[in-house]
Amino acid sequence: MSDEEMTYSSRHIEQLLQCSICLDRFKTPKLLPCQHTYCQSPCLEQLVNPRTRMIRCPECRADHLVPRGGTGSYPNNITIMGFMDLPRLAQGVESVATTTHRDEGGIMPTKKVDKPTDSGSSGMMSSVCCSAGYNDDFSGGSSYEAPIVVAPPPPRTTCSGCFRNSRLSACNHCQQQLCEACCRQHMEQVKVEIERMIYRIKRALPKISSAIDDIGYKGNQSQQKCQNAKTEITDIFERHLRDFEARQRFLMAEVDAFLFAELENLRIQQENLEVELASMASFCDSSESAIGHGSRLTDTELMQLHEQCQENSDTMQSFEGSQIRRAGLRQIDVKAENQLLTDAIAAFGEVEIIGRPISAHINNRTDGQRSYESRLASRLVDLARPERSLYQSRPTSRNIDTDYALSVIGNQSPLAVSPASQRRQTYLSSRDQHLSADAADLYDSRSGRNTGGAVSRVPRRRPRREHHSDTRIAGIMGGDDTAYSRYRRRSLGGALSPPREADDLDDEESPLPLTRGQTFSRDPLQISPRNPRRPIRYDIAFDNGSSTESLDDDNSSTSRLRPNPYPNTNNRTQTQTQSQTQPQNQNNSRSNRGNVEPRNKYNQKGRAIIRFGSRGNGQHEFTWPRGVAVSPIDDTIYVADSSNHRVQVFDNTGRFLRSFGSYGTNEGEFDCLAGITVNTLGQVIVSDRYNHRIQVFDHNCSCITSFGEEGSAEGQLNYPWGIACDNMGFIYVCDKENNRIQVFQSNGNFVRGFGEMGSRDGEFDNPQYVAVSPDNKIYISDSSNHRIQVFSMYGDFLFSFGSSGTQNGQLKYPRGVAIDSQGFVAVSDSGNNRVQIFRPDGTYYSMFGSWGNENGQFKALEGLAILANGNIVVSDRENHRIQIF
Amino acid sequence: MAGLPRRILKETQRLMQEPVPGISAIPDDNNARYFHVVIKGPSESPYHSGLFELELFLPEEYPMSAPKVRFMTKIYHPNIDKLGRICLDILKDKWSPALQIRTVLLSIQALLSAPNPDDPLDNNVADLWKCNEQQAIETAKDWTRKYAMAKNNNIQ
Repeated sequence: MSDEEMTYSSRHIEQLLQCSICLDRFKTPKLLPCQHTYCQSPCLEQLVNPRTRMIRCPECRADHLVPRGGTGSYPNNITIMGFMDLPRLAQGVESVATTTHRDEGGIMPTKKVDKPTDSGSSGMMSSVCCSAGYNDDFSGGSSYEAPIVVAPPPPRTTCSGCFRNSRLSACNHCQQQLCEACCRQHMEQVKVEIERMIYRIKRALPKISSAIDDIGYKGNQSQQKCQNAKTEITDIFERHLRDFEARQRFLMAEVDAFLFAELENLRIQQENLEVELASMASFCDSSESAIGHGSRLTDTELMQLHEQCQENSDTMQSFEGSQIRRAGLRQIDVKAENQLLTDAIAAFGEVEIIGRPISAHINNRTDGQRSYESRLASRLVDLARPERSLYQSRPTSRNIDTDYALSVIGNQSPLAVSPASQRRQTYLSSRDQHLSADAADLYDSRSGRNTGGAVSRVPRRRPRREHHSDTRIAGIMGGDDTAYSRYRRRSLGGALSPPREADDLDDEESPLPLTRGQTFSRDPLQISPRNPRRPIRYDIAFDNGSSTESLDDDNSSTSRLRPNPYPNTNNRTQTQTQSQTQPQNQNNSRSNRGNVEPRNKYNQKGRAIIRFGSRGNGQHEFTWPRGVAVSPIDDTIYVADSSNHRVQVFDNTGRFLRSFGSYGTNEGEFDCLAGITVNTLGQVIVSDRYNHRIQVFDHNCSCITSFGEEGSAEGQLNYPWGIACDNMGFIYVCDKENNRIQVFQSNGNFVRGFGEMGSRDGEFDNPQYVAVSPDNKIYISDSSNHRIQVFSMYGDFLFSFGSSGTQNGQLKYPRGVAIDSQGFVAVSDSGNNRVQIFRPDGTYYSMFGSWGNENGQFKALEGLAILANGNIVVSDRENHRIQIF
Repeated sequence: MAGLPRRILKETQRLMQEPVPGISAIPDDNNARYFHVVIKGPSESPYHSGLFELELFLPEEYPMSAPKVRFMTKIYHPNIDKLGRICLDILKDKWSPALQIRTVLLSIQALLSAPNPDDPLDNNVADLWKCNEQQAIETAKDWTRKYAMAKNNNIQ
């Protein structure tokens, strides 16, 4: 501090040490209850009203009863006294200062009318008679000083402990200015406090150690359980290995049998041929000798011989050409559907962890992700707060207490699907999958198992989320060139006798070389033929939606087969099945490739899980509900109950929470409201259709602002309909009758508008609903053009999709639009009474719904919205109800 | 009179050293408790450029009781009567020892800027002020010209 500042502050101190009655330095400063200080004598003494024994404070006019002991009983103002103990510096100067710069002090007027001004000439004083202020200032504005009452407190210059000692040092602990003695005392106090805290900490230590013990116990338990699980896994796999080996032995035996039969066959043939050879040779010998002694032979005998020779010669000719070659056709093929088996093994078994996961998570996850990760993470023990699990309703306060069970599910009857397993969510870490895939490769070299021949592709509708749940046995049959160990053996040829199994020996040119089953297998075989080298493809949809793969032969981390509509096939339908399944698979995989699967199972929606509402004006009753919105804050559902002129609010299970609004044109009143949305602040924004305005409500449902009026100029509206907010708070309004979109700031300031009447890109015909995607693209249901148009947030046309029609991907008067966090677009196709789901790029994904008033049926759809859990809230207008899918 | 209280001395000293703009207060030569006061009419008021003489007397009980103040110059004001008595709360029941000569005079100056016809001392003036403010202001200006400017030379 410079000297000047020092004198300034000391001057201030002097002013504060001046009694405002005697205008002199305090003598025995007494503190009144109103905190104003005066000298005890004569100032305070004079102020006492002898009749009432009261004192009225000159500064604030507060009345105080004088204590029994008189004014001397008022407490001394110790602070002032401390200041007065300070050595007065620069006595000579100071006396001038006190006289020249002394503040008169003054009354705080009863009305607060005083304000400091530079010049007394300006009229600023209080009104007359009822109150009067004072103005306190100095001439020429040379140095203005604030009145005492507002003067800033001076810096402390005495010890805050004893108020006496002026040799101070700052306390490191609490920043107080303390003298040495007080500081020591203070430090003692701090020590005591520290000791107390240490004691408290020590007392709490057992909590942690018990938690540690608990963790140890849990660890042992987990080890035990995992050991059991491993044992179980080992058992299962050993059993299957035994089966596999038995199957191997069986197949070997079959091959041996074939070999034996073949050898036996050949031996017989050989014998026959040997006999033939011998007889032919003897015939030749006898004939030659007979001819050599020709004279003895009669003509008749000669003719007979000739005939025999002729016959034998023909036999020999015909024998060589066909029989030997045909015998060579016999072959053996080993066919194993390796891919299916591999897949089945990869998908075989499931480690299911039941129980609350013990881990800390980020909260804002979708269910799928949450459970997926929590299952993985549940092997870790964490002290953090547990996350709510959807799969367990047991409430637990501390997750140390939670338990989790480990069970291994390996189905004994692989094809049976237990109902329980349908409900299970099963997840395997990808590492686990790779492990099983490796194991599968190992088993590939073995040829099969004795589950009764083979099971071809099992095109069975798999239950939802069941991709690892049960054992999938792929047959060793079916494929040909895909088989790893395909080999052929030509049978030993050369038999003279006609083949007894000629019927079974097909020509090489046979289109379906499916000989083995018919030839050797005792069991009826189900064969699923495939064209050589056609890749087998599965569409994979991970339940958590985090990744999607389409599998080729060389890419095998399977998880879930897409539901296959084609039932189990057999020999008769194989060709047909093939021709149907292959394109199907290819289509699926093509459309799959490069696309994210929705984590909301749109393709499994179709039945409403919650329905509520009927016509009326009570709670849970609607009269033509139109827009619906979901609050991003608390997942509540806001329904624009249009002809009841109100907004009804429900929680995400459909429980009525509140409603607000009534008919009218004032703020907070509606006239057939249509669109509704909730912005990221939780403000509810409603398009008040017949009032041609937008109203914004806070979360208490009180109207904050309204804007817009009827007209077609900028910022004016003409039957505004759908409304949406982006994450920056801009409000997008479907200005329906003006056939345009208008954008407003959240306070209602017009930002921009785009679109005009027409059917070309960027033009509208009754734009009805609008939605904003997570990447800030604006999706608008261009209703009478039967399409959805997509714009950038600046109003630049990007693309559109949909055309008039009833096919998948076609629309009729589309209305509500909603977009999930992945960008999938749900459109209420009101003319077709269905909800269609499109991918973010506008390609069709799935649909559900039909006309009617049953579950999952609609009559005239309006708005829709998507809940945080992926469920779709649909406003079913003519049924006056809300359905949640 | 047993000597002048220190407070009055101090106030007087300061009034002399740092006069309030538009106000002069000079103690009488014979009586230190009697002040000759001149207040300049506030600008933007009907009393603009008028110079109003007042007398101020500090009673024996001062500062425990209010000083006595009276207009010597005739003035047309709803809160000031023909005799120059002033209707001002701090001069009566709202007096406080924390107030000073300086603040009292400032309050009177402010009163000239903001007449309060609702709490009148002179009913005639106040009635006119209420029903025809324009005319009242004209009259006030007129009086100011007539009475407050004549003695210009005396004060400066």
